[in-house]
Amino acid sequence: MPLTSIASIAPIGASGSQGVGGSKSGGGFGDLITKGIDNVNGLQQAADAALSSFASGGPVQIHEVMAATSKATLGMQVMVEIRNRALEAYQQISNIQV
Amino acid sequence: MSSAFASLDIAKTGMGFAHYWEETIAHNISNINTYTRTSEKPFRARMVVATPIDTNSASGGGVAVGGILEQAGDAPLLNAPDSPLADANGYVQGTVDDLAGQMSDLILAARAYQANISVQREARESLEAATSLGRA
Repeated sequence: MPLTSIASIAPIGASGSQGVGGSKSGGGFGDLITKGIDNVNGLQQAADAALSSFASGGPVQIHEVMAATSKATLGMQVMVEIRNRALEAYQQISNIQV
Repeated sequence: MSSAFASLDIAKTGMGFAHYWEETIAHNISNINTYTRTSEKPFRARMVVATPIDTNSASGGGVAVGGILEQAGDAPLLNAPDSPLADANGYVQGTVDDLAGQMSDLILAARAYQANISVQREARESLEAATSLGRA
């Protein structure tokens, strides 16, 4: 009997978990940031793979390496820029006088 | 054209094509003196065929190598009775290859490569400028 009562609690917890960010099914700002970081990480890894393949005489051409590193640099710049803006917004809120 | 880096990728295909073209020209120029017996197939200059990539594809467009063609025409016969390749009448077969034309193509290929580098640089600078949008 106590086991069935525990099972009935679970749906209440799931439907009631609306945080400050309004994240209903993991689609919040934090999730977006995590996905962005994953993407940037993927670009960095692709650039790294292209570079090491080129350096070891692999079937990769110099312009492919440069394109991959350009993408990685741009991705990193966008990520840093978004971090700066988010931090700026947070600091503006935390500096509000009460 | 969905990816943010589509212009970089498209320029990359252009550079890849120009690079392949340069390789083909190098092959043609290095074989400019590849004489053959009159009974054999002569060396023919190879020509790269460019084909556009569909703009709805994953890379968003660009250019690809569509195929390789060999230069048509008759090979010149050269009178060289002392050559070990000479036939009974003292002829060897020249190449179906044109050094002046290959040098002109080499300039075109090098300029095509540079043009695509310019496209990529401009695209990168535009994207970099976009990251500073709205900065205080």
